[in-house]
Amino acid sequence: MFTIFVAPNSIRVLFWIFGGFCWLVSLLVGSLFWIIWYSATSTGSALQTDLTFASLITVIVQEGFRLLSLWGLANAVERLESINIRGRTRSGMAGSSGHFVLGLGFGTIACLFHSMNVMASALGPGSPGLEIDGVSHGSPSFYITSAFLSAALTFNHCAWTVILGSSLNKGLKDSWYLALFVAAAHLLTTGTSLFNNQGSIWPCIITSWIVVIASAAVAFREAGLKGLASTAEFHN
Amino acid sequence: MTQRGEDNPAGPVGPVRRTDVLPEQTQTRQRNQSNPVDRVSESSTSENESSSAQDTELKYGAEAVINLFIPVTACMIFVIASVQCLSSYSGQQKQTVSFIYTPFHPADDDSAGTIIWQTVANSLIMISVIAVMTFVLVLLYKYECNMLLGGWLIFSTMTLIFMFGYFYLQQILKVNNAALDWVTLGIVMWNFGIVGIICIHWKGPLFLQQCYLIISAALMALIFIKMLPNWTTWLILAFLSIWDLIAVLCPYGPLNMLLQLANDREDELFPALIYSSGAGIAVPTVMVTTSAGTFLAPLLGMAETSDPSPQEEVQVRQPRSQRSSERTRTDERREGVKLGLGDFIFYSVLVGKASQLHDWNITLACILSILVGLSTTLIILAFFKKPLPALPISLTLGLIFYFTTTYVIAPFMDLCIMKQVFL
Repeated sequence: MFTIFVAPNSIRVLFWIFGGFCWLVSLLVGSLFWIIWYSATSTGSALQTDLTFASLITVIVQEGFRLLSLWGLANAVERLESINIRGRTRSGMAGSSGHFVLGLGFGTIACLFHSMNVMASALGPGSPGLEIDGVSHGSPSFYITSAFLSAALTFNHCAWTVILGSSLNKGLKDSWYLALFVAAAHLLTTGTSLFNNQGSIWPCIITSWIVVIASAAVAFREAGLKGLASTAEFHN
Repeated sequence: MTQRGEDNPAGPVGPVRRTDVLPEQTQTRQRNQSNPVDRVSESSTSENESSSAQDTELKYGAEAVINLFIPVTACMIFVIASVQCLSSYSGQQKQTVSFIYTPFHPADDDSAGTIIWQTVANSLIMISVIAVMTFVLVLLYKYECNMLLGGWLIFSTMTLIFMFGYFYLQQILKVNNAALDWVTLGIVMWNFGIVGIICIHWKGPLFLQQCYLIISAALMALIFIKMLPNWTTWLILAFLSIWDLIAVLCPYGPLNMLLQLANDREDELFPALIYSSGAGIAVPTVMVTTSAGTFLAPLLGMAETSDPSPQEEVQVRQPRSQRSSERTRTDERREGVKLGLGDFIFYSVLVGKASQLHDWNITLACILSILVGLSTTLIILAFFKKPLPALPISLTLGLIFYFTTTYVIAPFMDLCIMKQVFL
């Protein structure tokens, strides 16, 4: 997706990086919260390994940052569009294209953060997911789960940003259901991923990919595309 | 690095200079030589001209930013790859040899107080060496000791490319347990080095010059990563961003004086110290220069610059109507945004040091923060149109994110990844 839609256009690359940076900052705030909360209330290491509350807060923070970055994007695009451009018809960032690029930034960095260490460990001594002496370090299908879920995460972030962006454009009062959809979808995927450690990985994978398809459908509709053929428009 | 492509014959100077100081001739020359895009914008009415000029500048600004992103990213990737693969750079071995500029080597089991004062002392020594070298460079340039300057530069480029290149090659061979005979080695190193020197100091394809500059910056960064003690590196980076601010923005800062001198003499700045993106379109942005003097050859304590003999340049530019190939070559080099090589080096030092921890989250966070810092600097540049230091914002962001990622984000993410919780 990056090569086709973002790379040819320089301004998009800039906003792609900006999107990634926003995700990073949101993660920073979330983990600050995790550290402060858990070091303040730790009654033993058991509490620190329970991620439920922390991930909930992090998801909320991420959505907040998505809103913030969409607002920033709107300002920047307004500035860019107001520049009298000669010789070029569009700045390539108008409307949903801009949201898409930002979402792709979010998604790429999220995917990288979640999967790069896993891939690096795959090369080194030992492998994640092996059962050693009866202690399970994750299921044997660790890699597959990681890979599929990271990919789903990327698509999801893209789609959610587009949806949220268009809902902001329409004004929150009219399209609150879109924002709610995004929040609900995100909480759903993260929530089911909390089950990953406790045995079955299928709830998360299935729900994640269903959410991907649903979010993509809503995003396409919001962006005004009728079918896959019109994605060629985005190329410019 | 000029704004409108073939700016004034001196070359890279900020638009401030252009509007103030330029004589009539050079302005008409600009009009004659402008490329099609400029012609379009210049054909508008005079009152629109200044605004459209600014528009074109801002629009092409994005491409200039990307033109700089690519080499910076390439340099960082090279350094990270070397740190990951070559054990000599990855901090696992105890470092016995080190710079004479950092005489204190805190051992791991020293008390916190000892480590602190030794680190501070090391960093102060290093920064003062850099500052002194920069001043010496400016003085040499001011009093026109061109032979000395030129010789110094060429000598230090030679040292850098040959010695550090050879050391790097040694490491590659060691890691792969491969043997290479002296004859092949001699031929390879000789060719590599000589072509490098020719490209950087004399004439050569722009792309090749850019490659060599990136390679030499990366080699330098690797040496810094290898030789400097851990905490000293971080403190030096912090001090450097402060020094950079002072050197470029204060009126008596050495780099500021250097730029003024170069501008007054209408000279082109040292190619070996500056990476030119040579965009090929009239990228009307200003030079971003920094830490020109910090590109040190540590073992010899010499700053690196290169001074293409100004006389030749002037002669080439004199016949205006002539579009000789030499002119297009030098013009190509003068177009595009320029970034000092010191910036490349210290960005790569930050990122390389971060990747020594072998945690990709930290490395990614640092790369991202540096790129965001660089784009912010370039955006500010587009508004202020004077030479700006490129180090402070990027390094500050990079350092902040390095430490926060290591201590705050990494434990959280490790836990998430282990439990396979996807945020």
